[in-house]
Amino acid sequence: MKRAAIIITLMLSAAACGPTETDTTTGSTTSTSVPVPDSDGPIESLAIDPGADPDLATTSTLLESTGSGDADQPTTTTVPAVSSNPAAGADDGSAEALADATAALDVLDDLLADMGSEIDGLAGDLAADANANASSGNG
Amino acid sequence: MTIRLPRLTAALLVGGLTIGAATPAFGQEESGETEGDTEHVVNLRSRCQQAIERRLGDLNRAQARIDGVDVLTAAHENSLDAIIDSTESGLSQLSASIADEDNRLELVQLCSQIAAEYRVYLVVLPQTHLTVGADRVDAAAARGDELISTFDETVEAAIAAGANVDAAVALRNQAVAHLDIAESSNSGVAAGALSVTPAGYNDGSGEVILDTVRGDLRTAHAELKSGLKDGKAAVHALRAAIGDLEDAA
Repeated sequence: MKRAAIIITLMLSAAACGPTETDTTTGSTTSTSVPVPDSDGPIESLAIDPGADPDLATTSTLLESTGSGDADQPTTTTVPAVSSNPAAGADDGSAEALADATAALDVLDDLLADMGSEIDGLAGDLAADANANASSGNG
Repeated sequence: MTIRLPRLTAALLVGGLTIGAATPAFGQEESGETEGDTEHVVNLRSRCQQAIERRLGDLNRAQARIDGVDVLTAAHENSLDAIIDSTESGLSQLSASIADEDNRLELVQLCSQIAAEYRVYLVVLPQTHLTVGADRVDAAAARGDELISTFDETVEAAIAAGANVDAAVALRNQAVAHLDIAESSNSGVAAGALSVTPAGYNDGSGEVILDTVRGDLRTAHAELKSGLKDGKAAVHALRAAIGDLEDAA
């Protein structure tokens, strides 16, 4: 009876200790020490090995030079993020051109108004010349 | 007692008194200085001084206008300043001479110089207005060039966005043609106007020059107006083309 009790105790101890040792070996370097945000892929890669990819190394320089310390800001302007979706980039260019053209229309209106103002002034000059001529008498 | 004279007799008597008052006595004619001459000299001197004052006032207003406009080139402003200064100076000296002159014939001669020697209304003021006008054409044309440049950039953006800009570009080309004619017509206006002198006007050449540049300036004005009209139409057409894209989006 005592022997049976000892065997059961040993089996329970083995079952409790086994998983703990396994978790310690596989999880200690990945799941707890390195964040893996999906949207910040390049930044994560930079943190692991900045010299592996020239483009990523450039990103590293950008981060240092701006001194922002916020990995989210530069990732929105990095080349990998844009080049990853060329179709979306083409759409943005067209929309941007349309926005530029629309904004320029107001500038054109201002220039037309300025030009009209000068032409009105010229009409005044011609009228003043005609008045001087008409009221000249003999001289 | 009342003496009643026939009406004709009374009229002749009044007429004779009037004539007698206006006619110098014999002794006065001998001396060459009559009461009537003195009054005439005073009136003439006053009228001549008023004529000079009117011209000096108009020159002052012209100077203020020159100082007020921002389109004049420095060279043209300097030329007009010099013309107005010398005219004002000459008229002021003439005014002093007139004030000192008691001889009627000498006074008449001095007064005749007010118009003939200075030609304020036929030369100086017109050349002021024409020169300012010429520089204003250049200013308007410069605005037009800026307009076309910005328009072209906008057209490029509109094309990149997929707009049909054919109508707008055709109107833009018409505007450019009008602006070119305006600038060409205006090219000799300021120099021509500034070249005229009172003496040149008196010999007839100055009047021809002023009439020519006046016509050129009017042509430039008409072409600028046409260019502005086409420019507005071009911008309107471009706005419509861009609006179509925005609606489609």
